Formats: sequence, C-alpha cells, structure tokens
Amino acid sequence: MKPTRPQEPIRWRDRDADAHALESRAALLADAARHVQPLAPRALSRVRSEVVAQRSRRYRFGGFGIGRLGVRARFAFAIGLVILCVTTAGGAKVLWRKVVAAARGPAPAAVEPSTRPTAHPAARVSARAVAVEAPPEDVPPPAVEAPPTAEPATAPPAVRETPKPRAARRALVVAPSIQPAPLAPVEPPPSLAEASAPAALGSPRPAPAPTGPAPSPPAPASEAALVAEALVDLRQRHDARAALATLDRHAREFPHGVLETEALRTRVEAVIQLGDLKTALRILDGKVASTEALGADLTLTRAELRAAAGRFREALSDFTEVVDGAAGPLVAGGDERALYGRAVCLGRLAQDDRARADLLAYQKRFPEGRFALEVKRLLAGKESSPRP
Amino acid sequence: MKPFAPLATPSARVTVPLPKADVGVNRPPGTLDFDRVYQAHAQTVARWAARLGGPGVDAEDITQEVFVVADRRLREFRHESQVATWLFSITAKIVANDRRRRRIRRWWLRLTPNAGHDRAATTDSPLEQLERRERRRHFYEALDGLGERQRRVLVLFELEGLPVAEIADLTGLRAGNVRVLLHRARAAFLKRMTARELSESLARPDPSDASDPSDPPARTEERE
Repeated sequence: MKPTRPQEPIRWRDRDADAHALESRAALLADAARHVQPLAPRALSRVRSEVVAQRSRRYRFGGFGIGRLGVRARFAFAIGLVILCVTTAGGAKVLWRKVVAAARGPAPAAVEPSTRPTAHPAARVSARAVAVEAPPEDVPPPAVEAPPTAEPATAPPAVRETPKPRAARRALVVAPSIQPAPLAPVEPPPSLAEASAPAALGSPRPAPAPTGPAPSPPAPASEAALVAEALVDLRQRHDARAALATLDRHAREFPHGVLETEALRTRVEAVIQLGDLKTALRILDGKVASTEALGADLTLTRAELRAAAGRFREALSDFTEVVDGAAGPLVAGGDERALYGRAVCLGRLAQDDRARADLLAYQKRFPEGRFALEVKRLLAGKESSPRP
Repeated sequence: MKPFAPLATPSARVTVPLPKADVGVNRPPGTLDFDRVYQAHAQTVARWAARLGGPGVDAEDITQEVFVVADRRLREFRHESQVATWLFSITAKIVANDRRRRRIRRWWLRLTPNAGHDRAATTDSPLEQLERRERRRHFYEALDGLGERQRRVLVLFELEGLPVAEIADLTGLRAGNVRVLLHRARAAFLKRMTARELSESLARPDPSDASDPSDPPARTEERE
C-alpha cells in the first residue's frame, strides 16, 4: 500500500523535542524571532497622516496627478511636453525676429506673407567667418556692383548709396589687395525692374522712395513681377533678406523660368550685399557649365570672389576669359577690373613677366583708372610685380 | 491595548490568521477606500515587515512605504487577488530592498549586525531578554543564507504560523511549490544553524583549560 503523504508539514515547535533535537533547537530560535510588538495606535496614526501628506504633496507637485498615469500615458505626456517646448521656442524665435525687424526699421509694405524677410542661409554667415577666410593681400577687392542688364546704356546714371552691412564693409576692407584699394566706383544700377517690369506688367515704375508704399504683387505673381520685386527690395528698399525671400519664392514657382539668369544675378548681388562672400562664391561655382551662359559680369564677379578666396588659378582663367572677351560684353569698368585682377593673379602665381605686361597694358589703357596709382607704384617700386 | 504576546512553549500553536475583512474582495475597480484598507491591514503589514526584515528593521518605516505605494497604486488594483496578497508582495519587495540597503551600509561602514530591541518582552528579566535577543540574532543569521522565496515561505510558515494554502495565496505560488520551497528552506536553515553552532563551540574556550596550571596566561607571566 502506498503511504499517504501528510497534507500539512509539521512545524518545528510541534515536533517531539526528544526525537528531533535539531528541530527543537530551531524551534527555540523561531520562538525568539516570533516576538514582534505591534505598532502602537499613535504610530499607526502617524503613519497614516504621513501617507496622506505624501499624497497631497504628490497631487500638488506631481504635475496634475501625473503619478497616477500609466507608463504609456506618461510617455505620451513627455513626448507632448517636448513638442510643446520645441514649438514654443520656435514661436518665440519668430516673435523675436519680428520685434527686432520692427525695431530696425519699417517693414516692407504690402509684402506677401510668404515673401517676408526670413532668415536666409546666406545671412547666417557672420562677419568673423568672412574676415577669417580672407586671403592675404594683393588681391583686388570683389567689387560689389550691380550686374548689367541687356540695355546698360539706357540705364539712368543714378548714384547708388547702398548701406552695406558691417560684415560686408569689413570683408571688403580686409580683402586682398596690393594696397588699400579704393572701393569700386558705384555703378548706376540698371535695374531689371526698370527694364522688364514695366514692359511685362505695364504698370508704372515703383516709387523710388524706400519708405513709399510698394505695389502689391499680383496673385498669382508672374515671373517677371517676382524678379522685379526682388530688385526693388534689393536696390530701392535695400533689404537683401526680403529680396532673397522673393527669389526663393521665384525659385519655387519657376524652377526653370526664362529669367533664371537674372534671378541668379540678383541673388548673388543680395548675398554679396549681406557680406556673405563664401555663399556667393558657392552659388557661382555651381554654375560652371559655361561662362557664356553666366555672362561677363557674373564671370568677373566670380573671378574676383575666387581671387579673394585664394583660388588664383581658377580666378586667372576667369579673368582671362573676361579680358579676352570670350565671356561676352562687359559692363562699364569691367575690363579695367579684369585686367588689374589678372595682373594680381599672375603676380600671386609668380608669373612676373606676364604680370608686368598686364600692369603696363593697364597703365596704357586706363591712365586715370581707379587702380592707376597702385599700378604706378608697383611699376616704379622695387617690386616688379604685384606679388608681395 | 494588550500587546501581542505569543506563548513561549514550543508546543503551543501560535497562529496569527490574516484579517478576514471583506476589503477588496469582489469589488469593482476604483471602489477601494484607503482608510478601510489601512485599518484592516496596517498591523499585519507591520508584523510582516518586522518578521521578514529581522533585527534592525524599522517596521514603522516599512509600513509607511508600503502604504504610500498602495495609496499610489490603489486605482490600479485589478481585484484579481486579495488585497492581502497584493500588500504582501509590496511588503516583501520593500523589505528586500531595505535589507539590501542595510547590507551595503554594513559592508561600507564595517558595522556589525544590529540585534534589535525586544520591546515586547518587558516582563522578562534582563537575562531572558538577552538570551531571546541572541536567539533571534542566530535565527536571522541562519535565515540570511536562504533565497528570497525560501525566506518568505519559512517565515510565513514558522513565524506567522500560516498553513500551506494561505502561504500559497499570499505568495502567488501553488501549494506543491510551497511545500518544496519549505522543505528546502528548512533543510538549508538547519544546515546553517548546525554549522554555526559547531563553529561557535570550536571558538569557545574549553572550561577545563581554565584550571590547568600550564595555561597560556601563566606561561606569559613566567616569561615576563
């Protein structure tokens, strides 16, 4: 017969002490350990009041009862809190920009909300970055001039007083040159707005006063109207950021428009006006398909930017194309800048004979030119070339 | 209030049953009242804390921690078990954490284990109190070598005096598992207790050596 198993184990203290001496000794220890004094009523009430106090503290400081939420709810709450913080920070940033823009001057009137001046990547480069990247001297400053239009002769000879930002002025001052070269003569801005906008839209020319009311862009705006608005922003209101915003809108709406070159020219001018020479050079470097499509003026600008960046070989090829006329007709004063720039690049590349020949040619062709004094000093001095 | 004073004789059956209050049984979620739970189970939780923790444990502090957790999680109680089972699991975890903290603190500060106060035995003589404290310390020293589940089962069976079925309810185990755990826990406990008694008897000086004229102190004096 199979022995039945006892249902309940026998405790040590219930065993026979004589037959199980070891268990009886363990029972003695267990009896001693069994002595526990219950909590006094005062201790019980103290514990309860402490628990209730912790509960009230938890509800008061626990974030509206977040402690009662489950794990998923807490996770969702944390994600929502992060999103809220990010959006709040973004909104505060936008508000700060608006406040700063309002404090700096009147906002451009009647500008579509999408064309408001926003933070363009080109405007984020600080003056310090531009100044640090400035190469050594003996390179002509990149002349910031208005690009010519197809009819430069009909442009009104209005003197342009572009208030350049401090970064741009500093970059131009520290730009490499043989001597502190005089700034490029201010060219009359043959505005594309003057050339194309009236013809395209048949509307009167916008008011020349910067603070005057500007015509609101038609909706949907035509390509010429967008480019014209960018030019007005850039040359009359002197607001390069607004111009860049308008050009961004143009790039979105007309990615392959017929005025792409004009838009590119305006964009480069706006970026240079903001003092971001690096971005301007990057924009022009991206258009290396053919200098003929780029135009002589943009090729000349690119050559000067490359020389300012220390890329003398590439600048020399650009200068040579401009001087030889392969890049197309030049704006007034462009050949003078090209000839002097090529001489500087040749001097930097240790081609002294060719540099001297260019300097002599400059002296012969432009005896009263803007670089005449510098060329004369170089030719008469000990140095035989613009190389320092 | 009359203090809890179990009978001292080993043959006496001292069983402290769980409170039979209907708190938390067959109630829809969210209807548990903290005050009722506290009144029904506070003393039980304090007793569990004291017996599971051993000497040096602050039962009042552990009770407070347990009911703070219970108060926070009261709405999440799904009534799939008794409230006592739920509270015992909380108590066991908090006591285990407390024991671990105290062990680390002892190791870090090079402290000796505290024998604790035997406040219940106020009518005993000082000698009896000392003897009971020593036995209690020995019990928990032997108990410290057991695993956590074996420790819980042994305490519930030998100290709380609960039957196997109630231990199974409290711990969430099956009765057969409880028996196996109890068997192994008792064997391990007795083994450690025997080893400890043996080491103490070896370390204790032989009383017959005290009357020996050639004992080490005498020889030391001769050398001096």
